[in-house]
Amino acid sequence: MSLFKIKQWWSNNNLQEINASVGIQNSSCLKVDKFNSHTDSDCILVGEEYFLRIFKPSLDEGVSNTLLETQLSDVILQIDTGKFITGSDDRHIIVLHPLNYTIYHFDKKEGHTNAGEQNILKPMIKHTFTRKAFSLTCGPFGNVKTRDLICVQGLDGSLSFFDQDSFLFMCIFEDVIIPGPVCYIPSCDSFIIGKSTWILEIYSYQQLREFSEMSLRQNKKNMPQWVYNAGEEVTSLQVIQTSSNFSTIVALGERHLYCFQDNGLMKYMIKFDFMPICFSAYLIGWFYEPGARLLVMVASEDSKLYIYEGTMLLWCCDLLDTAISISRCFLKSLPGGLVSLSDKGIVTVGYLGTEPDLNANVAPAMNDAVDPEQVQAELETVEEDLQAILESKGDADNSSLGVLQTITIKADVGKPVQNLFQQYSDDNDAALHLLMCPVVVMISCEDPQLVQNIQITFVCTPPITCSESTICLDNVNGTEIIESQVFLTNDTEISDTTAEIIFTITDHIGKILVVSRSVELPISLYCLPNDTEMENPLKLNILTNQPCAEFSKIFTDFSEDELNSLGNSDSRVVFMYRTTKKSVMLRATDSLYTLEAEDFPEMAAILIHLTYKLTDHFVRMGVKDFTFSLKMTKELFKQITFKFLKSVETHAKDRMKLKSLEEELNVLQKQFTVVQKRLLVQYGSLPPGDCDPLEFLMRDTHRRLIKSAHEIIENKDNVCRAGCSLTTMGNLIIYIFKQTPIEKFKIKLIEEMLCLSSLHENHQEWEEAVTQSLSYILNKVFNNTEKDKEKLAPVTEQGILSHINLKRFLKQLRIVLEKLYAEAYEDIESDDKGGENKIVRIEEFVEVL
Amino acid sequence: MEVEYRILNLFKSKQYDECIKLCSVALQNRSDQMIEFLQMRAMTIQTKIAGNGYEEVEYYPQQDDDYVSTAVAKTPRAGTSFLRESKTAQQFKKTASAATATAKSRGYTKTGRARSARSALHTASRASRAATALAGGAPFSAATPLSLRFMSKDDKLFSPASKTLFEYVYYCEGDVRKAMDIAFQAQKVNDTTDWWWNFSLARCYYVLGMYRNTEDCLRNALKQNKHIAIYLRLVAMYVSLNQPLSALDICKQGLSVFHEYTPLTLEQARVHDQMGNTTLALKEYRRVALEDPSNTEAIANIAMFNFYNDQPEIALRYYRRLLATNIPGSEIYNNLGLCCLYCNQWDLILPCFRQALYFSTNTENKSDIWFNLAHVALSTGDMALARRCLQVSLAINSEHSGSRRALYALDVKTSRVRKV
Repeated sequence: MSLFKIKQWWSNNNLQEINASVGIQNSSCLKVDKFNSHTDSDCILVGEEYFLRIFKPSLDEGVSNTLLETQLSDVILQIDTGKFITGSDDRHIIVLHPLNYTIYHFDKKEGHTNAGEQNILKPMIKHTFTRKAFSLTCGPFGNVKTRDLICVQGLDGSLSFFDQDSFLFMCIFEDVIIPGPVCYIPSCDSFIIGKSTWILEIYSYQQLREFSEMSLRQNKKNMPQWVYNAGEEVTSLQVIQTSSNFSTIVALGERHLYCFQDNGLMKYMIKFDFMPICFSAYLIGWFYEPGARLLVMVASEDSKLYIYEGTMLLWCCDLLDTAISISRCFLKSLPGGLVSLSDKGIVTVGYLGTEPDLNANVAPAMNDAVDPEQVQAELETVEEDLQAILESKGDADNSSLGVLQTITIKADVGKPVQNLFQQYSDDNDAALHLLMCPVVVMISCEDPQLVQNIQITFVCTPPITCSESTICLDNVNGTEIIESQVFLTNDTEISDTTAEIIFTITDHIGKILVVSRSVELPISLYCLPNDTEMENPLKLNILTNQPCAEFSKIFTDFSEDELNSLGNSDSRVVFMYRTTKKSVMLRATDSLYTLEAEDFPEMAAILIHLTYKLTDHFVRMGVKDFTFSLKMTKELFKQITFKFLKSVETHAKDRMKLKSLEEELNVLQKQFTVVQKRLLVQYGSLPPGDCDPLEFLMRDTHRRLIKSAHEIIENKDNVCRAGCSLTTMGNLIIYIFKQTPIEKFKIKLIEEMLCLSSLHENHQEWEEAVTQSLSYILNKVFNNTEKDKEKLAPVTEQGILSHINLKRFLKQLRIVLEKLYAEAYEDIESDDKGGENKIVRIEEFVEVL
Repeated sequence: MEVEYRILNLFKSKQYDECIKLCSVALQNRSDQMIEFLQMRAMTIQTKIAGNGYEEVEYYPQQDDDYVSTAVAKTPRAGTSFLRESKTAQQFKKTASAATATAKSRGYTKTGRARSARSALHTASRASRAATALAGGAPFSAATPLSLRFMSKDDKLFSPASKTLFEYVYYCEGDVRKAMDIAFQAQKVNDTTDWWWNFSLARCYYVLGMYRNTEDCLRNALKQNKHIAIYLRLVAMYVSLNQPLSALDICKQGLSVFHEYTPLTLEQARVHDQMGNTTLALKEYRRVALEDPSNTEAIANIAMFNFYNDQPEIALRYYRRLLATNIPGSEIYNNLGLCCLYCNQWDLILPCFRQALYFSTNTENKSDIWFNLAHVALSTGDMALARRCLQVSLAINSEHSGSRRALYALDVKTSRVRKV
């Protein structure tokens, strides 16, 4: 966030060991002070684990910057300086170890020869104690003028006071878990202590002294002089004398910096938008002058240095390392430098510098000179290439055909097998699950290099399902055989007797090709021979130009014995669906096949299967010119249409019901949330309110939620069932029309319009999809009159499922179907007079989008 | 060096990753309350940073579900709520009639500002606070310090530990209810009133969407202590309640305590900006920039204002300063490119946009930049290039309505030319 970078003046980077272990750098082990032996410049004292180093950086060549380096007997916790010994005018160094402190005198000895001078660290006082220490504060406690007293904070937060080498007294605090910062305020002879309660407490020295005596008696509570509740952990404190009468306390929290006067008056508070690590407050000018300015330097986690005066940001620059401790220093050739200790133990002395580094962030590519002509030329070549690709459409297609030629795909179905491995309970569906029919796909590829991968997708319409719907092959080597099991899942109408297999082939250049195959599933998967007699059945006749074949030859999926067992013969067969338990009777007389059933949906699957098998049979017999046609009367077609519309209506009504149930569930859920929330408030309030009515309400809502969820599940099944019979009827109608001489394109349009395959388990929004296409087809293909258009257009402000729209929808559907019928059969009737009909079975499998 | 001192050193110098690692090593062999406590603190602070817990002001998507919020004020009186939508609509009308392409390029700089300045920092935890806390808290669950969790409220350490415990449960575990439980217990134990508990309870209520309780708690806390965090939270709450006037009032109160205080001034500016009082907002942003010259958001907003005030040269200078002080990003280069375009500094336009493309990471950004490039091409008169740029823009993000409209306009224009 800054233009500037700190200018490095000196660093001990080269002197530092590379592999320092983690956590040995202590932020309180950096101290800058002057000594009598080195009056010309500040000395920098650094402690690192067992080592104490004293630096006096200078620019002179040949003079060592390190004055002293010594290994002490114990780990250094803190270094401080002060006048600890009476009668001495020099400042002493105090080093805190976990179980003792030592006071050293730092002295210089002139060399005997020209070898230079010698620096000595002379231990003066060593004092041991029993509580493990954490930090140390020193100062003229109790207004002692001659020397500094010592206060050691233990790891448990206790404060022990020492004078030179004698123990004075100790205070124990119970509300300290992590020892926090402690600081002495000389101007009012008090201590400021950061507690684990995140409260700053200020006690006078006198108070602490009394407190230590009271803690022996254990009766009274000691009230601090004043407290400040910071609301966050205070990580460090600094006291600085800002005028002759009072001092300023600066405290650093997790995200805030607080500044107080020593009487508790808050001066200001700064909220940072970075993580501060350490800070150093300093005064410009002398405290007894009125114009002294208090500045605060803060080092952040992302190694930046911010300098504030009050709340105003004065300067901001990048540090070279993440600093864990910063301080100011006055060196001989650098008055007013900045000392920082990094988390790797590197001590750096630097100054702010004013020369901004303007282009530090600018990426080099910005400055590249670009030749406009060259760019223009490049642009033109790109344009040409694009044009070339756009024009060469034909070539691209040819290349993909080559890929297809190298791949041969075979798909087949096996015989349904009893699935004995899976155990089912005695529910109604048990029989359904027992039959599994394998669908086998063989892919062989001549040149595996041409194909990147192949994805095979099996598509079945419910109630038929596949065990594995998608299989991916990453490379095809020679021939691959993939098998998937097809079985029935629930007891709805069989709408489609084929299984479609879609191959998505990615070739070597990343182009995607889609190929599909469809296989006819064996009738034995979903039907059984039966002997049910029907009353008053509906009949559908199929006229062929060949004499009837025996049924046992047609339905090869069943053995002859199986087929003829229950009173069936070669000219009369009754099938019963495994799913719906409804039966269909087939009769063969001369060249006429008759389907008899109670209702139309049952006929659809058998009819389609029969015609497929018939064609197959005659092809195998070597009969080339086999044709057939469906005998259709107006009355019969009316019945079919009626049944279809009825199924649409049922489906729509079921969906409406489902929708209202879902809305109810939604409302209940919201009610539940609200009740829960209120209850929570009740629980939380002091004292807790009366919760019983709310609890009753919550339980009741919960019960209703469960009930409506069950209803929804049940209703979903109903919708699925209705959807299946709708699909079945739709397929039947389309199949019937396919056998008529209406142009193929028109039939395909109608098929697309009805988009029956869009109905799939949870996706039942069929009416909405069809409404749009229906009105389009009606207006464009059948040239509806303007009047009809207006009359039948769906009311826009109401949903498609609303009563009026549904009525119009059904009417539109009827019109389309009737018009189609008229086109198909009235033509035939007139054509019949002319002689031959030219109905040809369309072998092509039309894809439904 | 003994492990507890190393842990303390790491904790003090805020190297939390290493600290947590060392704590779990140390806690394998023995149980030490202080180390457990330190580990808990370190984890909490890390989650807090990751979940933006230090940011008092977070603008949540405004709640409009009647069932969810328990807030009372539902129908704001005229002039008391944010006029954001109506304003953008106006802008749209105005620019759409002027020129097809500039419309969105202007709209874009606005979003660019928002991202570069504020949201870019916030996106990490846009979702609810509880959710982010959960996300951060899950991986730690194995190493959760246990003994402190089972502390009874009669323990003499409970009151010093309760705040740490609260923050740990709130941030690391994301369990607001449990956190509230701790808060209630702690309030019972400490007979003295502590503003922090009120403040923390307000945080909980806020997450639960109970704004009335939040307000009560915050007001109580404010009576006890005038802390910036409380003011900021109150402002955030009123903003999400869509009561900008109350938010402004709080800002004013806060500023009477903390004079010239940047975060509050910034809030004021944001609220004014959202209400559509651009000039007032600008004034506040200038005050922020005076107080804190490194504030990105303020500078970006001033630059944007200058850009729309037809002073692209001045905007350019602000953006250049931002570029020099900040980490470069696609938004800043995009804005620089646009400024160059309007200043007729042709040599810099394409390099700027190239940099913008280089830095852009998401599809919306990319397609916006390509859209702006189309605008550059248009102003050089290169229709073919403009068309290509728009096509690229649409290829990257097919829902870029500006590009679509501009492409349509270009088509209409070229077909008209052909007809003539």
